Amino acid sequence: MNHNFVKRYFMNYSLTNTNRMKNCIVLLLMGMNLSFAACASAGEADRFGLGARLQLSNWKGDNNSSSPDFEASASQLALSLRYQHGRFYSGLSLQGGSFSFDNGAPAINNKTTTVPVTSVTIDRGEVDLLAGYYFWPQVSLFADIKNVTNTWRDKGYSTKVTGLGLGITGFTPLPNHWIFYATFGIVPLTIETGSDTIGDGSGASLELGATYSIDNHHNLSIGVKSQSQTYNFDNGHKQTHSLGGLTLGYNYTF
Amino acid sequence: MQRLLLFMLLVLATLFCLSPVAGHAASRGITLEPRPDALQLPLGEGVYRALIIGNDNYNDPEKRWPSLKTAVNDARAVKQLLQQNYGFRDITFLQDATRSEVLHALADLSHRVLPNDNVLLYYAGHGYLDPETKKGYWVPVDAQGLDQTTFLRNSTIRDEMNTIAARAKHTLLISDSCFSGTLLRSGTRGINTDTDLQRYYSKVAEKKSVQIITAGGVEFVDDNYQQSGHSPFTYFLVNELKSNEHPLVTASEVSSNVEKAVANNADQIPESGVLQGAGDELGEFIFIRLNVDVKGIPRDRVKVQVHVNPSDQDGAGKTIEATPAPSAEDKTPDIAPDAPAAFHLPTL
Repeated sequence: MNHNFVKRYFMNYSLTNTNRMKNCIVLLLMGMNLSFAACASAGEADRFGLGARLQLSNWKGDNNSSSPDFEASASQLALSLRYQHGRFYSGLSLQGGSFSFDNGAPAINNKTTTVPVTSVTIDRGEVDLLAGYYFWPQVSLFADIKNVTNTWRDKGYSTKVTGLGLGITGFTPLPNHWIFYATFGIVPLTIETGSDTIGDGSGASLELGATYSIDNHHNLSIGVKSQSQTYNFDNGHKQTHSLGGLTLGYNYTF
Repeated sequence: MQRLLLFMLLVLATLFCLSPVAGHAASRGITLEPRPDALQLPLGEGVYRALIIGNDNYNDPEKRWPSLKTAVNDARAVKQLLQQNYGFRDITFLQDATRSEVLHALADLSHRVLPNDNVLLYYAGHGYLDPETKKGYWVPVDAQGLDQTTFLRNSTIRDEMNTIAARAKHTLLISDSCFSGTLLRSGTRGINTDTDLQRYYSKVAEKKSVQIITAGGVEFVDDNYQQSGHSPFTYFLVNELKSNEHPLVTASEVSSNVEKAVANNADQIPESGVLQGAGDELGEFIFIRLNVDVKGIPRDRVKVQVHVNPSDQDGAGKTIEATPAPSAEDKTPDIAPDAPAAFHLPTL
């Protein structure tokens, strides 16, 4: 199964079944979360965790020929929570940050036109709702409903990029209470502004890092995360984005 | 952005309210609050983990290792007791384990152990003492005659225990096999002579421990004590832990009583001591008793709060809840990822 096939498969699937599939997955995740909450209240051996993470991100990309390349840096704060019940886990991550583009910036696209932008601040928010299962003791597969909101400040324009992605994550213990982890995933995307769907795209994500267990409750983590996304607008333009940088995190497990 | 952050905080606060910690106050049943003068100890907050091995069915092509009658039953009894009465959360149970399986299970356990954890290793099965070299061995079910390369040498077991002990706070090895006393080099420890119980438990809980209790010295040990379905050592060990009515009991206290009971009733004398060179600081592995009988109240409606961490400002401490006994069906626990898997939420 080559990359093109995977991409095409997920693209087609997302275009024809996105809404139905999304609804099913949302219901599934909500059900799992409620079940986990119920189990936890009943005193079962569930684990519940809260996390905070700072990502020092660099966002760069290009608008193809429509305008010059763009690049900006910002700190993104992420808060997350997680339930684990045996090999199942579920979680929610909310991440946000503001990127100031001084020269080139991501162009504003709608169904038919592209408007180049030279200087703007974009507020970017990411919501991930996911559920996974450890098929092997140290490797799990997970499904992630991703929602990225970009708002061009003072331009009256915003986009909502959503998709259901699949990922694989694994870890291996290292000496002296360190744990190495790696995560990789792909996600087909749909781009909307207001109530209009203006294009689709795809994304991939890779994260490598290590955590240090202070004790059974407290963990510190450090890593590098890279996301790449390609948007194909209905107006014929293409936009590529690359976002990534150092991540520093703290997790508390009850 | 402010609205996004506000939303994030709202969601986190809502879900926190559903968490086991926040939801604890809503538990049903009767809560026995400790009296103000109750024993309050600065025990660590580590997880209680165990690797339990019982070998009955030997496949020795040379027929030197006959099958045992009670080792698996012993292991099951110990496992059930630790789960039901002493709050062990992470138990790996191996029945009729090969050499490779034992070594893999030890390695797997050593990866899961975190600081402050309490780790118990239990082995019931054949043991062997080389009459010339005086070296002792555990005999796995795939042992072949007297080929010692198919055995588990005591020094290997001690090495694995050393690795676990390097991470855990308290490590205890209980070996119920012939010649298991060869696991001990030297060094014994006495039981509590301090009449101030609180001071004693506080002291030994803070110090690291790496202890060993064996069914015998360098002698053969019995398999089926008075048709009880248990070896004499495990029979009295399980009895001791079952009949214990104290919320806390140390490994030394348990071994002292078991040694006396076994010596008085069987032709073997259990031994106990420490694993030298593994960082033992004369601490103690402490068993925390969970289930408490209250006259006239069904056990599943009794919840006991044991305050074990007085350093908490609000006095809430660590709460251990007595839970209804699991079904009689003895299931091999899932070796699912435990602590390490909860550290990090993957996102795309």
